[in-house]
Amino acid sequence: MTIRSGRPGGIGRRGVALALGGALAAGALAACSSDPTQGASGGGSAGVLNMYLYQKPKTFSPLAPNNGPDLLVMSFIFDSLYGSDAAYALRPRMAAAPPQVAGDAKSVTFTLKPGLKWSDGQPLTAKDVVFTYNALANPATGSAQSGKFAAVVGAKDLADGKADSLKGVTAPDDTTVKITTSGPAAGLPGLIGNFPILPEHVLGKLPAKGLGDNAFFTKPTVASGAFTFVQYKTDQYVELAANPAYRQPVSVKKVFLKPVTSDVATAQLGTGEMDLAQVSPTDLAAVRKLKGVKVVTAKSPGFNRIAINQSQGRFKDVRVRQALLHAVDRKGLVDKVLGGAGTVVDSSFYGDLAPAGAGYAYDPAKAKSLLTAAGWDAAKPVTLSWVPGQRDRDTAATVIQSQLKAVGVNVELKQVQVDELLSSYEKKSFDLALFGGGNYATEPSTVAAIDACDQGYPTGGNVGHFCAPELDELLAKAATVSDPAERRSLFQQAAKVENAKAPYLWLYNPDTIWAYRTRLSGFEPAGIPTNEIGFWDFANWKLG
Amino acid sequence: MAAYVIRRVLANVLVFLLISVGIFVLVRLAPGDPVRMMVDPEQMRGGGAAFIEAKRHELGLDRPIFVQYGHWLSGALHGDLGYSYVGHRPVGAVLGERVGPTLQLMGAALAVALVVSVALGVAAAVRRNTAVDYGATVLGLAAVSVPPFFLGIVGIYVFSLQLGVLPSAGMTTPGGGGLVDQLRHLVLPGLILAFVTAGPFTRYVRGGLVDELGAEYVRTAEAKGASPARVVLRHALRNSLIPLITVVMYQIPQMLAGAVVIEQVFAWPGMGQLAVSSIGQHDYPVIVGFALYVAVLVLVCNLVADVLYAAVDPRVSLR
Repeated sequence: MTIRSGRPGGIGRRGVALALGGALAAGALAACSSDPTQGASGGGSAGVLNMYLYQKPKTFSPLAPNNGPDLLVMSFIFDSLYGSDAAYALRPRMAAAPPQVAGDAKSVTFTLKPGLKWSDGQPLTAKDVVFTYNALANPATGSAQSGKFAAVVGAKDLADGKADSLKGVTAPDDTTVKITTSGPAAGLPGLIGNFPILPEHVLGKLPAKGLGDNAFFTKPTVASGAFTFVQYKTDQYVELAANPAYRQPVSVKKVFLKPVTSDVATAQLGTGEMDLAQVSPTDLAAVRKLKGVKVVTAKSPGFNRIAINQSQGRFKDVRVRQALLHAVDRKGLVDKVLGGAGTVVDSSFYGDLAPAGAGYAYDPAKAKSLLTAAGWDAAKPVTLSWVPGQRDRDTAATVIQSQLKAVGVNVELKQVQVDELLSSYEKKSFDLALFGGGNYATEPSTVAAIDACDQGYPTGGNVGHFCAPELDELLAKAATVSDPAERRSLFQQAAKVENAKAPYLWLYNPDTIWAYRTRLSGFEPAGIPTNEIGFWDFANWKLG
Repeated sequence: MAAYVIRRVLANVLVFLLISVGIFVLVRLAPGDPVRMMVDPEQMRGGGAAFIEAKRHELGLDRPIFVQYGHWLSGALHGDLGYSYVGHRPVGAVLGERVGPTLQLMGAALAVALVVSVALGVAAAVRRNTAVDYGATVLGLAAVSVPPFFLGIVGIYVFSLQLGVLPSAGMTTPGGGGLVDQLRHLVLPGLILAFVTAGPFTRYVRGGLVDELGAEYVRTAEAKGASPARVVLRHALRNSLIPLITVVMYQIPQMLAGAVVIEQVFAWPGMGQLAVSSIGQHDYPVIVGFALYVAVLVLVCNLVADVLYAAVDPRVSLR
């Protein structure tokens, strides 16, 4: 480019302005007309429910790794044999009766309600259940759930490619599914009973390899749940319509699930653009002030905790771990950080399985003496890592830092990304890691995934590499017992052992808080924000 | 000029290839494994570990990086940028569906910003050191110093929650959305972005025009008896716009790359949200596709800026 001398000329002036303006106007108009959907307005319309989706969904596949927003959407469109009730006990949904576990706990029978139908009118039978379990148990489909079927006869042959189907899952008739296991597996119904059932008549003829990547899972064409899938407008909303073939009549005609920020969700509850939203404890005060909005809470099954890296010598001593529990005012955290909407936990086992009166009270003096007795080196720093972004955890981290410092644990805070945290688990390079979630309430034996000696990450979810053989023995024994009362007693014993050994610095079980506009009735709060299939009673939901 | 443009385009192809190698390698050098991130630790026992291994193989992440690049490049040369790890859809489609909403938001914001900034800049330059000038300066300063997220939240609070005249978020009312509905959704995010963009533009217009108004050709025009409006608008303003072309042409790629904060606050499905979520999820194909989209925009806008200089100022010739 060179500059040449001369007078400013007159050509091109209008051309430039017109070109620039025209391009912008064309762009704006093209974009304006890009949405072909036309129809009734969603906000506050009769029969149309707007619900908050706390993150964007990725796929609507039960084969994929669990992802909260995906599960929430799937809970509307796919039904399951069983679901968890408010107390996290299994409750029949498409099943006609509770699961029948044989005396030796080596076989389980599920019975389906008669006359179930897919949204396209095809019958939903035991064949669909067998197909679904085969897909889930087969890693070739892209399933991230195959491990849950490990106890089923033929699971290993299927996983190794030596068999085409799961030998231990059969359908003697249209409403009966029989599952045989290679060893006692009394916990199997709790592990697999709440999986969404997939349509064999749609997916059954496709090759198993890569089934999870099929377009069906981004746009499910048939549904068994209360709603059918209409569309996902990327990052805007998931649109669902009532399923006339659902086993109960549904009064809500349409549902829009909207992934917006929590601030916008709260504002929209006020404007009427949102009917139902899960709110964080920090927004609770603002939400309570909104007119025409009701707030309800439910106890969640998971809990926030700090994993302690017990592959390090200094954390192997149980007295150190107990000292950490005594050093933190967890009741104070619940009151201040959650506004009282939560419960302190002292065990990974849920509810009254946890030993009563065996809590670790806030007692800094006791914490100090336990640390002294264990020969704790106060000079050596301890890093507390967590993924920032959740307000209660962000606040809790700083409170915990100061309280641990007060007893001689020199905590340094470190904000990390998800993968950085996972990588530090794998390398065993973290000291303390704050996180939360999980559901150990529906099937207590799942505590093994985070506590058992052979479940160290990445084989399992025992990120702290805790090991207590007596706990493993009790959990293994519980798998062999079919009698619910006897299983319960074994879990209680296991919880007692776990509580004494303190594998985690347990913090609290935050309540799940739901806010809804009063035009919605019949809504029962779910403790699992993701719902994990099977809590909602859509037939009871009515819009005024 | 045609030879110049062809030369520049050919040079850009080379730059583009170099950028693609750089981005492809850098994205993979960043710590983090996209597949491991998909699985919660507590799911490892339930089949997560087997899933991670199988998925890594399926996505080719267990192959040497140059093999991965070769595979990607051969696809890219055939118009295939690969599949999103997260959405299981072609990257071209994933990017493509963001172009419309981004153009709508950014085009509207840029158009409003240009009109406002030229008008305000001219008024401030002509009425130098008066209340108009000071007012424009204060507004310009406010535009660059108040964070957009704050304006967004205040806007939602005032216009949606209190006055109830505008929707609080989204691009349309779910399921519905005629032109009027879309325009109503566009008002808040569009005006906030226009305000933020117009601030610096106004300063450039004012500064450029003040310089030009002191030039000798302006005195000549006045001496010839041209009206003040004609002197400012037909003579001085035109010459003062050259710096603005540079700024606007640098601004366009930035704007078309998405306004991360405003898109997030208003749940606008634009490029910015896509960029943030794909980086967060280590969705390599989408990150690379997005980076190349931005690279192309920058290269094209630079070229357009050079061509526009010549169109606006005949003293500039392109060889």
